Parts: sequence; structure tokens; C-alpha cells
Amino acid sequence: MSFISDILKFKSLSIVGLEKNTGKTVCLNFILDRLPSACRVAVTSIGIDGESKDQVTGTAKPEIILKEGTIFSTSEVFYARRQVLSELLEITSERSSLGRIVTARVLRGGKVLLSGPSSAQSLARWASGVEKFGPDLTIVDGALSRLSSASPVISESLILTTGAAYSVDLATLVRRTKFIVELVRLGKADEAVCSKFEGLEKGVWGIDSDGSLIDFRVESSLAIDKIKDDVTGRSVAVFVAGALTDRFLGLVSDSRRVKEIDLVVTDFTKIFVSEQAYRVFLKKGGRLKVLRKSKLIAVCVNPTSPRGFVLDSDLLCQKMREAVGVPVYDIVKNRDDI
Amino acid sequence: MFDDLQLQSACGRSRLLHSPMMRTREEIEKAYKTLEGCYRIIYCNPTPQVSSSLAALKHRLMCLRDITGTLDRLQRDVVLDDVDLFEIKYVGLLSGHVREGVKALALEGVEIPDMGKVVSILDPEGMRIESFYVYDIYSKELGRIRADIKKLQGLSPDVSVTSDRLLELIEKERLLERDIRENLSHLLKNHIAEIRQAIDAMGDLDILLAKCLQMKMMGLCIPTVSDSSMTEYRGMFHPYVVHLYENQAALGGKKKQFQPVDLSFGLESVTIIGANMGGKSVVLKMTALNQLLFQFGFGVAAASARIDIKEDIRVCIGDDQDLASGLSSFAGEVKAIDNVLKGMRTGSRMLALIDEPARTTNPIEGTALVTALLNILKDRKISVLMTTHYNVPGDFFRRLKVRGLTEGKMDYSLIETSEGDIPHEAINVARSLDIDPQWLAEAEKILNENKD
Repeated sequence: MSFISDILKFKSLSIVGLEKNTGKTVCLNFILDRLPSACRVAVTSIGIDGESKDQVTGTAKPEIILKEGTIFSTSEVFYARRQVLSELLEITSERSSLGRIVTARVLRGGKVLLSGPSSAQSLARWASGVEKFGPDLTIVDGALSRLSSASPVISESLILTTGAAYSVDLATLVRRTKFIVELVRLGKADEAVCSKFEGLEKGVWGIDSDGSLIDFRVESSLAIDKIKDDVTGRSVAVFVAGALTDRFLGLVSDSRRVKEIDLVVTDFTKIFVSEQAYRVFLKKGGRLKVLRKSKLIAVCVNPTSPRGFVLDSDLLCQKMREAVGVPVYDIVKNRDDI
Repeated sequence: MFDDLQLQSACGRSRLLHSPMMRTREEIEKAYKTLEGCYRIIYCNPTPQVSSSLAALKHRLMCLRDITGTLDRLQRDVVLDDVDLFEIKYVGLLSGHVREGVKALALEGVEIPDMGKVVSILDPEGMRIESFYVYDIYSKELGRIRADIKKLQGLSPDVSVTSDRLLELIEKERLLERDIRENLSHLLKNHIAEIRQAIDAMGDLDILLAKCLQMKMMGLCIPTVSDSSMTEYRGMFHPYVVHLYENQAALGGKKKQFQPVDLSFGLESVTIIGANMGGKSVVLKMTALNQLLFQFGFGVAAASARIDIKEDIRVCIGDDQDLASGLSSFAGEVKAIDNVLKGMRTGSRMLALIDEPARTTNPIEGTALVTALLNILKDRKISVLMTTHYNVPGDFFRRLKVRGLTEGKMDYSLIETSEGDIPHEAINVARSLDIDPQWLAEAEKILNENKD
């Protein structure tokens, strides 16, 4: 039960899949089923606009099974199709293409379709808004390739799901997953650095050797050519408030002072660099850090690809465990042992 | 001014947009009595209790959602779903809280209709909680079926493990719920009018509170309705210009003070002459603004005001040149004035504010056009304020003049004046703006030659 007790250490959880059919819904249903009944849960899913069917396979969107007492938020359209008896608590001010997002409490368990707020900002608003109903744990079912829903702004902890759908080659699957896990587990910058950069919402900033803050006066790391020399010239820490790109990372990598600079981003969801660029950066002695960190609880694997290819579950779990350094579970195969 | 109201709810905004201009003494006096009473309670030495009640009330109003769509559907006999029913219940409970808030503040002239009957339809258990589902209590049978389902289902919420019996019960439950919703919709339909009234009343309250706040922020006054046909302003100002100056000062710019202006007029034509940049157009604009504020029951931008009610307010200010519709500046202008004349012929009590008519043509024809316009207007029972640079002969209208540059400073106050007193200060004013000196010197030379 260490999986569930790890989850219970936090007030909020996001589940994100690295690919479709990596078992995100299975994982969510498993957690909802196993959580102690005294734990009051609030759950929603990041809504993909207009998607009521799986865009890839054409099958219906997965249903989530909810127990009595669970609070859930979904769109009006899906609320009308619920198969639970539930008490409507709130019509939120968030909207999606499937209508307004409503919040309700389950009175008699059953299935629902979840499609909640569709942007990271609105999810963060949802998370703080749902607090008034007093949940012990809020869970966000993230979407395919939307890591932003796992931002530490929204949830303290996260679970990654990966599997044969991401890659059928075991070594590639492990390597690619490991890269994401590395980014998720990047270390926090020093307190002194964090306190200087905290609250800056855009631009590129630095700290020089005597500890004062420098504004490089660019809107984003996309417009960096002008300030190349300034950035690497005298700073001991550089903060990119927006997205970190290959180009910016390359700029720091190419600098002679790469080893003297702490490169800082808000959190791992702001990192948009290729694995190759990141490896080069590391090799040259670069350090990448975050202001906010969320706890990676586990990686869940689904060894079956939607095309029918199946990897060896035990081997996959073992290799993955060795590579990522956090617990790895195959929830379908080992559900009784977790 | 309208856009600046700090409204809490969409309903307040829609009420504001739909509110008609008031045209009778009774309406206007009633509106100002309520506004004044409310203002006195919440902003004249408010106790901490009043301040916290006000904040709570504003927060309640912020929760007011526009549910006209739902009510329209109800009117058309659509069976409402849980979300719709929740919305109505929510508004019902909210109106109760707002009623209490109004009572706590002892606001006079504010009536929020009681939605108790509506709430009791949607809250059969009397819990007064903002939530809704088709409660067991609505039907004995429903309660029984739900209990049976629960028994059959056991602890497992996974309904995929179903027996025929369970499916049958769930279907029965669905049908019963449908009937209950239909019945509820039917019951609620009888109360649509009172729901709308309650929402409108809350929207109006929102507007009232926002007007009070605006009065406080902008230093507006409560005007009185004129008994004669005279309109009198003491210390009239333009809130936006004042605001602009404050902003400039706050940004470290030059400190400028808006000079308030006194103005009074009856059913007559008044021309305002004065130097360029003497604030003539601003006088027209603030008179227009204040007349509108008055007839929509807002605080008025003056130290004090006594205002005559008008049925029609016409404003011709600015350049109506429009490439798209092929109007030149002159055409745009004469068309606007033509509209004033048409309005005047309907015989309604009108306030017309015309900024430099016929300024876009030659001074000879221009003067003729303005003189003729004043001639036509003279016997009409309407109030006309008109700025001009032309020297219009005659004594059949009143003349006001901006005092103008005195000791290098602009004095914006208005004084009575007589025929022929047209200020010649254009060059002086231009000089104060750092305009090319060669040009101005040349112009002065020409003027002097003409004099000789």
C-alpha cells in the first residue's frame, strides 16, 4: 500500500500520460478505488475542447468510477450524462466548448465522464475554488501531451503514465521516460536565488556576483540574440520566466562560463528542450534548476500498445525502476500486489 | 461614466444598458432620494459594521449570475435539468441573503422581492444549502427505489456489474426523476415574473451601490430638479479631465488643477466665445455629460446643481468627417445641425449643444449660417449652448465669454459679454505652445498692416 500512502502525503495530485493509451484512466480509477473511504476526494480532468471521443481510436472517452462522497467537476454536457446520483454544488465561472464547468458531490457511486477546465490557469483557479468544499485530496486527470496540467501551481505531486504506446522499443521507452523524469525531478534553486526570482512573470533575468538582480529587458527567451553577451557575461544565475527553448539552452551551453551559471526556470512544465540539447548542456557542466518542484510519486507503465504489441511487464518495470529512481508499477498486472 | 461604474454582476450591467432616460420629475426625484439616502448610510461616517455589511452585500451581488436564458426556456415549457434548477435555487437563496444585507444597512427605497416560494419548491428539505439534486423527499417511491438500488449495488460503485433487477430499478429511477423535474418546471413557471423581478431588483441595487461609489470617488453631487426652466451649475467640472490631471501629477508630470466653472441658462440661446484652448468645448461636453447623468440618476459633476428636465438632448461636437460614407467635415456638421432643427420642430423640450457651427467653411458664409441658426432658434422654447469664433451681430441671444489669458495664465471662468467682443488671442495662445516663431511673426505683421 505504499503507493496509496505516498499519495496521501500530499493535498493534490496530477496524473499525466506521456502518450495516449498509457493507462492514465486505469491509473486514476485504481487510485480512486484504493483510497480509504474517509479520504474526501475532489477530481476533475483537463478538458480537451470538444473532444467527447478519443481522437485517435474513435472510442468513447473513458469513464471514471466515483465513490459516494467524491466531489467532481465536469462540463454541463457530461454532467447531464452522468450515471451517478449526485448533488450539484456549484456552477463555476469556467467555460468549455461542452458548456460551463459544474461541481457536484456523489451521493450514490457510479460512472461519470470528466471534462473540466481546459487551461493550466483555469485549472489552478478550479483547484483553489474547490477548496471550499473541504477535500482532503484534489486530483487532476491530465491530458495527452499537456504536462502543463501537472504544474506545481496546480498540484503538489504527480504520477506519470508511460508504456508501449509511447514507444514499443523497451530501451527507447525507458530512455525517453527517464528524460521526462529527470526534468520533473530537477533540483530547486538556492533559497536566496528563489526569493530573488519569485513572482517574476515574464522576461529573462539574472543575478550578478554581488547578488543584485539584472533585468535583461527581453520579453521571452525567444528574443535572445540581442542580449547574448549580457546573459552569459556576468551572471551567476539566469532565470527564464517563460518557456526554456533549445536556442536559449544552446546559448548558455556555448558560453565559456557555462559552469558558473545556474540556469533557473519556474518549473518543469516550462522546459521545452530536446533531450539532445539537454545532454550537451549537462556534459559541458551546465546546471538547470527550478523555482518550484512537485513530487513525482510513481511512474505507471502499460506494457500493451494499442496496436496489440506487448512488452514484458516485469522486465519493463525492472528496467524502468533502475533508470528513473522512483517506484514503477504495472497497475493492471500487479493490481493486487500494490 | 457608465463604463466606469464598478458593477459586481452581469445583471447590473444589463439593467444599466436597458435603463431608459428619465423624463419626469417624480422618477428623477425618487431616484435621487434613494441615491442620497444610500450614499449617506454607506459613506458618511460609516461604522465598521456598515462597512463590513457593505462588503458582504457586494460580494453577494458578485455571485449573481444571469439566468435569463434559463427563465426563457422555462417560459417555453422546456423541462429544466439539474443545472438549471440549481441556478434558480441559487438565485433564490442569494436574493434572501441580499434582502438581509439591505435590511442590515437599512437602505431605503430598495425592495428585493421575496423568493421564498421559489426556494421552498427547490429546497424541500429546508436545508437552505446551495446545492441541488432530485431529492428523495419529492416522492416516496423515489426514496424507496434509491434505497433498493443502494442495497443491490452494495459497496461497489462499479455499475458495470449489474443485474437485470438493478437495471430495471435504475431505469425506474430515471423516469421518476424526469417526472419530478417536469413537475418542478411546471410549478416554477408560475413564478417566472417574481424571479425576474428579484433579479432586476438585485441588478438595480448593484447599480445603486456603484453610483454611490462613483460619487465618492469623483466627488459628484446630488442635484435638485429645477422648479423654473433654469439650469444652474456651481463649480461644474469634467471628471475625466480632472482624472487625467491627477494621473499626470501622479506620474510626476506638471501639476495642473482643473478650474471649475459656473454656468446657468434657461430656455434661450447662449453663445460662448473665447480664446482658443479656453475650454469652450469642455464646457459643452460637461454640460452634455451632466444633463445625461442627471436624467439617468447619477451623481452630477459639480459642487451643486439645479437642473431642468429635458426630453431631448442633442450634441454636435467634433468632426463628423467620414471617408467611408463620403462626408466632408462641413457636410457632417451641417447634417448634425439639421438633425437638431428637425428635433426642435417636433416641439420637445430640448437641450442642444453645438460646438463651433460652420467653422469648416469661409468666415463670411459661416457667420451668415450661424446668425441664421440663432435667428431660427430664438423663439423656440429650447436651450441652446453654442460656441463660436464668429462675430455674430444682434442682441436676441445671450453671450458668454471665457475670461481668457490674464497675466499669461488662462482663466477658464465664464462672464457675460456684449456684441462685438471677439477675443483676438489666437496668436498669443499659439505662441504659448512653442509654435514656429517665424510663422507667428509673419501673421502679426499682416494683422498690423490690415489695421493700418
